[in-house]
Amino acid sequence: MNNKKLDVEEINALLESFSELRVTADNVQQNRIFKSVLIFINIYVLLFITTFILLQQNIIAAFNEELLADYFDVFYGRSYANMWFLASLNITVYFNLGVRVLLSGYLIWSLNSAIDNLVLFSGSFDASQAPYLFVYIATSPLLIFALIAALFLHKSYLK
Amino acid sequence: MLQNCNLMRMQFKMPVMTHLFWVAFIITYLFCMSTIYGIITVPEEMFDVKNALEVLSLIKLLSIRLTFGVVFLSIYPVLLLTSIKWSNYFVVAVTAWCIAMYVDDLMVLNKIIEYPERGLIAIIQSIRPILILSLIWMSFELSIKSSVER
Repeated sequence: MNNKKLDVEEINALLESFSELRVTADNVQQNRIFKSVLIFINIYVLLFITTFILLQQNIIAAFNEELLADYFDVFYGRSYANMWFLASLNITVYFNLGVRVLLSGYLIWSLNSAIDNLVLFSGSFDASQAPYLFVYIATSPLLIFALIAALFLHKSYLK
Repeated sequence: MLQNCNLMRMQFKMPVMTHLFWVAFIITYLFCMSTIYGIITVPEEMFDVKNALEVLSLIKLLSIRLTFGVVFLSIYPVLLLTSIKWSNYFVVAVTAWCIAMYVDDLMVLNKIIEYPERGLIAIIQSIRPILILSLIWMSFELSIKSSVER
């Protein structure tokens, strides 16, 4: 038993600190707009991830297979990164810990992705050739605005 | 006239930083300048002409990054001389952006862009982590400095 890295007391202390963190987070009532923005971010990212999983599994048809094959890796990589950011964002909001740091990181990454997408894919295809990609590129500023709004609306402590 | 000079001196103040900070500063500047030089003077034969789409994507991407580099090189010294707080925010944002670009290039864009395999651009590409480390060090030191000033 001496080899155990954590004993019962330490585990209890760890669990207690998490529950204390939750109590502190519960005391801070977030703005209704912030909650709506957070729901929007969740829906947007989940829709994006679902679309690319469906495309990858051939459940929904790609309008231009050849074109999609060229750019598929890019969007698939982005959907994975979005998934990790979304999961981390929800965890940080739940504990109300480091939300602004994560939102800033997510915002910068999204901004970089949006600029890269715009630069790389502008003129490469039109909406009829790859509607899913087109919708994603065209609506990416929405996610950026939502992240900026969330960054400004988030309350990290009681005033 | 004398009053204006005094006002200027008050507004532009050389920050007292460690030697390591200035080393990181010089590395960052050397890196950015050699990148700009590399992008402007890259010879056509460095690229693999079979992958025209990849080369075109790279050129488009590099032109945007070139603009970004020029903006960084011009704004950063002015901010550093005027406000530690704002230069801290600026460097933290630039560091996060550089990390995002690096991770994006390695994990997402590697199949659709083609960097030259030799020459200055190839060297710059291989020493990108050093730039990121320098930026992280500057962010770290500026964060401490700005929290002490507060």
